[in-house]
Amino acid sequence: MATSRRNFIVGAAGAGIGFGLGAFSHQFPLASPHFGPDWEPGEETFVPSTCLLCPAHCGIRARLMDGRPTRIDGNPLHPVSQGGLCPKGRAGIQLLYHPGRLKGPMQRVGPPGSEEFEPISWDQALDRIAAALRAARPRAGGAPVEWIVGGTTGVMGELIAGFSRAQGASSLTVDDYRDGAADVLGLCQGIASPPAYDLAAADLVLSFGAALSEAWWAQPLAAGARVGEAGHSPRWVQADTRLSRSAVAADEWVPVKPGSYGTLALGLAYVIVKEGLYDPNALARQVSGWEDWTDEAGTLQPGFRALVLRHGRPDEVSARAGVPIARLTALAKSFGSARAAVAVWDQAVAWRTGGLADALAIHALNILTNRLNRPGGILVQPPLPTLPGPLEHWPGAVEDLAKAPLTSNTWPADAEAGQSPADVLFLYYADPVASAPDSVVVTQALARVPLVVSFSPFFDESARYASLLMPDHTYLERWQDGCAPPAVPFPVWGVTQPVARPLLDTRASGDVLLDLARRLGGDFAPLARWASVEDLVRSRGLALAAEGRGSAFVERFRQRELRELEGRGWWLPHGQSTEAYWETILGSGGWFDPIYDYHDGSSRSQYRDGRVWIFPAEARKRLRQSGGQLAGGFLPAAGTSGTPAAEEFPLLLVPFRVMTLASGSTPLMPWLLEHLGVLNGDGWETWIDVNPETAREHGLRSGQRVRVESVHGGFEATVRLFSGAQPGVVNVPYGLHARVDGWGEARGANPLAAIGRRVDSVSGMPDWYSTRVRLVRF
Amino acid sequence: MARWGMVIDLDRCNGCQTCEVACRSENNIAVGGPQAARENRTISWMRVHAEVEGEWPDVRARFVPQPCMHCDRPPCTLVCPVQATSIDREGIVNQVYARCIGCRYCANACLYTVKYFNWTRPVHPSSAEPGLNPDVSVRPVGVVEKCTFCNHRLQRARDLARGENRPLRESDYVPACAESCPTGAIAFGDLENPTHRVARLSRDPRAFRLHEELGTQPKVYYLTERD
Amino acid sequence: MTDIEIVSRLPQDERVLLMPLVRTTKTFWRWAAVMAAITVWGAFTYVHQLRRGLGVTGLNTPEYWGIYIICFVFFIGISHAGTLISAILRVASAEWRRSITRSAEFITVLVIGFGAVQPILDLGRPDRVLNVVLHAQPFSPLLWDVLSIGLYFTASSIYLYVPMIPDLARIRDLGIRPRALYAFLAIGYRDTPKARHTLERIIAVLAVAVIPIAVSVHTVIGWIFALTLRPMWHSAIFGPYFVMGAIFSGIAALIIAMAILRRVYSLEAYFKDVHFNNMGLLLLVMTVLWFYFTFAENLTVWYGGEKAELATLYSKLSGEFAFPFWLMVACCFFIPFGLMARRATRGVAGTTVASVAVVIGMWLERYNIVVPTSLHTMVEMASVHYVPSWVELSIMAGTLSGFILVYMVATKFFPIISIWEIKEGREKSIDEVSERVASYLPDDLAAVDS
Ligand SMILES: Nc1nc2c(c(=O)[nH]1)N[C@H]1C(S)=C(S)[C@@H](COP(=O)(O)OP(=O)(O)OC[C@H]3O[C@@H](n4cnc5c(=O)[nH]c(N)nc54)[C@H](O)[C@@H]3O)O[C@H]1N2
Ligand SMILES: Nc1nc2c(c(=O)[nH]1)N[C@H]1C(S)=C(S)[C@@H](COP(=O)(O)OP(=O)(O)OC[C@H]3O[C@@H](n4cnc5c(=O)[nH]c(N)nc54)[C@H](O)[C@@H]3O)O[C@H]1N2
Ligand code: SF4
Ligand code: SF4
Ligand code: SF4
Ligand code: SF4
Ligand code: SF4
Ligand SMILES: [Mo]
Repeated sequence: MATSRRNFIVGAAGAGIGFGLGAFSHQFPLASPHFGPDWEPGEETFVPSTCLLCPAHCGIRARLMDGRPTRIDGNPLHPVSQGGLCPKGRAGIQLLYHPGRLKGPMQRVGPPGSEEFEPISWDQALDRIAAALRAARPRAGGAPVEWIVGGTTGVMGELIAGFSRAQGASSLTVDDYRDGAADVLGLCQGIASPPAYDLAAADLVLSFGAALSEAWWAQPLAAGARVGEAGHSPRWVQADTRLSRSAVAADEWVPVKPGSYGTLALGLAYVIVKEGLYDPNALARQVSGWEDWTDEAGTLQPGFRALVLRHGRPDEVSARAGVPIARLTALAKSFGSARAAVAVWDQAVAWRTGGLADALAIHALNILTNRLNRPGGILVQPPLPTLPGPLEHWPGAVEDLAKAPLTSNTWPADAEAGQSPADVLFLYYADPVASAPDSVVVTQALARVPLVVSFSPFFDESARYASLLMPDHTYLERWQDGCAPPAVPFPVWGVTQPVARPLLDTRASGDVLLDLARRLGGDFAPLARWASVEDLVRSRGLALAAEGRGSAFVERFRQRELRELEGRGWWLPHGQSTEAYWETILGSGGWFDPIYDYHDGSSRSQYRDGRVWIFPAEARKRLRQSGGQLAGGFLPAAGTSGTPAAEEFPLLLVPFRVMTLASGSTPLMPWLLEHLGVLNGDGWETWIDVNPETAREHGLRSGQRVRVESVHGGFEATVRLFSGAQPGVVNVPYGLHARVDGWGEARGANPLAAIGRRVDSVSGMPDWYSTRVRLVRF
Repeated sequence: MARWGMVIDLDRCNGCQTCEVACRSENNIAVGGPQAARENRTISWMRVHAEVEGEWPDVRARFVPQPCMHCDRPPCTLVCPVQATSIDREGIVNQVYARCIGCRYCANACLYTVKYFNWTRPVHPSSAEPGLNPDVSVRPVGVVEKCTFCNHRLQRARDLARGENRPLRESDYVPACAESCPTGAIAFGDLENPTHRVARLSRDPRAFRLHEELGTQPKVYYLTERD
Repeated sequence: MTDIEIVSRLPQDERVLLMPLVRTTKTFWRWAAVMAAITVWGAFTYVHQLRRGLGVTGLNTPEYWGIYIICFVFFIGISHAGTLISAILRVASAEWRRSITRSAEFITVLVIGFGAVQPILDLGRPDRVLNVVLHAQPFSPLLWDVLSIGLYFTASSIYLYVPMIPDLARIRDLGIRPRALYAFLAIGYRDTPKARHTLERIIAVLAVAVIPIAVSVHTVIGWIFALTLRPMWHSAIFGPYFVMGAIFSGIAALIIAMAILRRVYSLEAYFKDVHFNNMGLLLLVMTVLWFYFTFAENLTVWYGGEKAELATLYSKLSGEFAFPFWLMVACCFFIPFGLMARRATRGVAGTTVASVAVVIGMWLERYNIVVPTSLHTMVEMASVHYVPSWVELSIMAGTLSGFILVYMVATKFFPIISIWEIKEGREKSIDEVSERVASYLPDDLAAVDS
């Protein structure tokens, strides 16, 4: 017995030792990391450049330690962003270091869509493309060589245009971030460019759903103006279908029913007219379409005044837009009596059937209160001096660039089964497989193209269907230039220069094109004039330096004094030579010309008679043809109830974009994914905001997964209860659709799958804000 | 002796979250990833909270960026058994990662829940290591971390000033979040020094502090017209 | 002559009480095996945690503390069974204690270690645990804890050991194996009246000394929570509340131990109905006390009506923690009170059932203290409900079985009932008690005159 007891001790001891060994034979996670405070400080340097993560093109300043970029700051000298950046701009550094980057050129050996790629030398790849281009013959059903261009800025746009021009291509579709405002200016003022907004000088900014503090393309302009110049901070009113971040940031938020923005504008106009808060003589002198008139056909056309008084009655409007009459009139009065009020809208208005009518009605407010080409009103960005570039050699090539919104969503133009859309297809800054509403159509089309070339530095979804991967440098490793978006009232030319030596065996797509041009010769010869994109950018910089106007970026106070001086017709040359000036431009980050001439009538109207049209005849004609349900055939009507039947699809889907989403580039910056939705603390997944009431009706809990279904298709998302969401409306953030492996796998979805490819026949704009859906639990 | 403090103007803040990202970038905060997000283990020294109140359509919201409040009477430092978190002479509350035993007592004692624990080993992809900020040590698993008022920037600024033998200027020491805020909502400086903006702003009638009543004496002030 | 033969020749008390040391049944081995298995499993899950970091737990921000801290408070609470209770009984020289004290003291000494490791299991950096000494920070309640628990452990060990010496000496003299062990432990004690006298003096002093130490231990543990400003932690009642709770769960644990020992070592003659009845009465008193404290605590919170505190309170009364809370109330009050209030149900079965309920209830109480408050932060923020992971549960099971195992083993090496005290009881205390009782009564005047 005692022995057995001893056994017991032995056994126990054994177990103990065993455990001990077990524990210590394993490497613990407790080992401290191999870098830490013991690092010696190292040398700190800064390189100015331009952010290319969205069209705002803010000035950035990379902070380098011993030559390694460690941080991206704002460039305090930049005249628009003034040293501020959005979260994307800061997170951009992760794009540089992303583990999912392609290490070098590759060619696909597996079937389309597979991950079977093998390395290939740049030379071989280029030869292969050159050969394909030589072989490409003009063909029925589209050009032999096609491009899908998600976004281009500065030289790259022209290079690509010039290149396809040399190829003999008659057209090239580029995605311009189009919010329809250009069409409106075209119709009303005969001006072929989008409006600029003098936000900084305005004292009342009325935004119709424009995400001024979010995705708006001139977001930094808004951020600057929001704070206001010394002391004076403007009043901002945000009319929006939800409590968007822009609405929170504004002084006042006017909740409105979806799609009733134009109606709201009409209502405001009505009050302004009734209260006589406008200048009748000015209107009589400068505005057509205000009073009734008889057109060439001899029929009497009702003037806008008559129309407003007929269709803008506050009681009706308030019923349709869901805005109390008192509030409506109060808003109208403050708008009419403001010193410098301006009505702003963006794609959220335009990207809807009937959006054009809405936009016209909103712009009518600016015309009515005489805000055109006035301080704090609607301006037009003066053009840059013409800069050297490929297009010099193909006069008229610019017109050939058929710019359209969402090219990557509308490709292929005719998804005609069987035949290939092109012999050679280039993907530049575009990931159509991820960002098109129906990836199946896209993948099928891509699979049919003999040679697909992807320039993306990342292995994104579309890259899987490419025959060749020709990884571009990231924007932190290459030369390029980026101008301020048209919304900025003065021209800004920012230089994008490498802040670091390329980390991998990648090449700037621009240099690749120039190389190809050299190989192909012939029609391409003119392009070979430039050794590299750097060369091209430099030549532009020198051209600007040679201009007798503008200045390199300078401190804020110097900017004001510059305005003063140039206003009085002075100009101080920078440095002795243009060379020296160019160096200054490079060192400060870019060139700008702050002066704006409010007396230049051409930025009010470019019609021969110099008059401005309010709801012009042309627009009326177009809208009538649309056959949409519009008041009087062309005036904004009630927000689309949307088809089909409300009982089957009881809810309306309204997508929106948050600051932390960067379309297809979101997965490249995990810092953004950590806290996507600032209003409900979401991260790493696509959610939908649902009003608690609505949720109760549909028996939904917060945090529950649902499928959002429309007639077009559906997507999955996590439910969030948000009292800032409108009852009966489902709000979904879009921009979490793409996937790039390596640094966290987001649970994203593609809301466009439910929205579909619908395009408004009149404006040619997509229709994103009138999709009816139902929520299916599982 | 300086008393470093921060003033955040809630009427200016538009919730853009740039400060959050700037802080991540400056302080080598590792990406937690989707799982950490699901488990509420994401580390975010600066976090922009949204206070939403009311029912549709009378909903109000405001953004309240929350770093460590660097309390003058910090409940967190008192409870630490190993002095791994302590308040220095200039009022900055620090963490000593090399000493912390990871008991999370301080995290529980902090009334503002701004202390973050490394539940798992923080990962920085090898491709991203060159991008880490050499001024800030990378944390090991199992320790608590939090906003340090970018203390390392103070060290750098001091060295610089000493080098040019001149006193420290207000503009010499600005934390990453304050520096990055596009609306200029974050002011930072010496609360005791009348020439510094924060000294004036912290005495502004709009100024208040979170849970002032509890006597922790935070050195992060907020400004707002709203109640 | 084998140990068994030696023992079976002994008189009743010694025979019965020493038999477990020499005869080991199959069932014992089976149970030992099961317990050992669970313990080893727990140990290996801990290794897993060491390698992965605390990420393998269900903890998160702001749920910084969970099972480990709950078990810490719980086990240290249990440890109050022995030393404190036996000390009180000794000081009050309650005669019925004689057969109880030893088993009680063993619980203390053996469980306290398992309690003390819990916070270490909870550390993010167990490899740095020594920093608590190297960089001691006097203001941290955690440090006070380390001290008081250390002190308590030493004191209890001595307090267990000293009264055991006469028995050890006896075993040595009987020559039961492992002789070396007993020879060593008996430190050459010879059971002379003189020696016995000094021994009893020492015991008496110790008994008085350990009481304040024991009280300090759980007071300080209460302070760990009370010294933060968190809702429903920051409360003056916590010190005494925790001590009371500790004794409460301690008594319950002791009763369970007695019931089991009685069964497996057929000690019916020693753990009599009266013992359970008396313990039951103690339990009853504590039950009522517990209710009183709990009521006082929650009432003050509710009456104060401070926002964060109320939120926490309601989450327990009617919110997401209503189930554990009301289950706790049932286990800590209604069940034991219902059973212990009636003599009929104060038998072995009744007290045991009540005790099991109390032990579970007290574990829940600690859960209801630790978890809800962590969840209720002062600044509103998204929170994920704390659900213990399999790792935490395994380690908890491992600790519990570990304790049971060592307790079982202890019964194999040491008499679980103090033989000499029983003897002493039989010989002396009858007259002692009658003397004492007499001394309570008015003096017999007649006797005085003459
Ligand atoms: N941060 C960030 N900025 C970006 C981008 C990005 O990915 N990230 N991408 C750029 C690109 S490609 C684009 S196209 C733009 C898009 O940016 P925006 O043009 O701002 O489009 P959304 O972000 O969808 O904003 C739509 C807003 O209008 C509101 N809204 C909903 N329904 C209606 C309606 O019926 N009428 C009106 N008037 N408003 C409505 C929504 O609530 C939402 O707030 O952003 C550009 N800027
Ligand atoms: N679900 C969903 N669909 C959408 C949108 C959405 O937000 N969500 N947005 C819609 C809108 S508004 C637009 S404008 C379109 C935009 O859609 P696309 O035109 O496809 O643009 P992105 O989706 O942003 O994809 C751009 C791709 O460029 C690659 N890229 C990143 N950096 C570089 C670089 O430096 N050089 C090169 N050559 N490539 C680079 C990245 O891999 C990224 O996938 O998508 C539309 N469709
Ligand atoms: S707004 Fe656009 S350009 Fe400016 S920093 Fe953000 S992403 Fe870059
Ligand atoms: S950066 Fe400034 S504006 Fe943006 S969230 Fe932070 S404090 Fe607010
Ligand atoms: S805010 Fe929290 S962590 Fe920061 S000092 Fe105060 S108590 Fe400590
Ligand atoms: S977690 Fe670290 S810093 Fe916090 S109390 Fe424990 S040891 Fe101190
Ligand atoms: S002060 Fe520095 S550490 Fe603190 S939040 Fe701001 S950036 Fe982060
Ligand atoms: Mo877009």
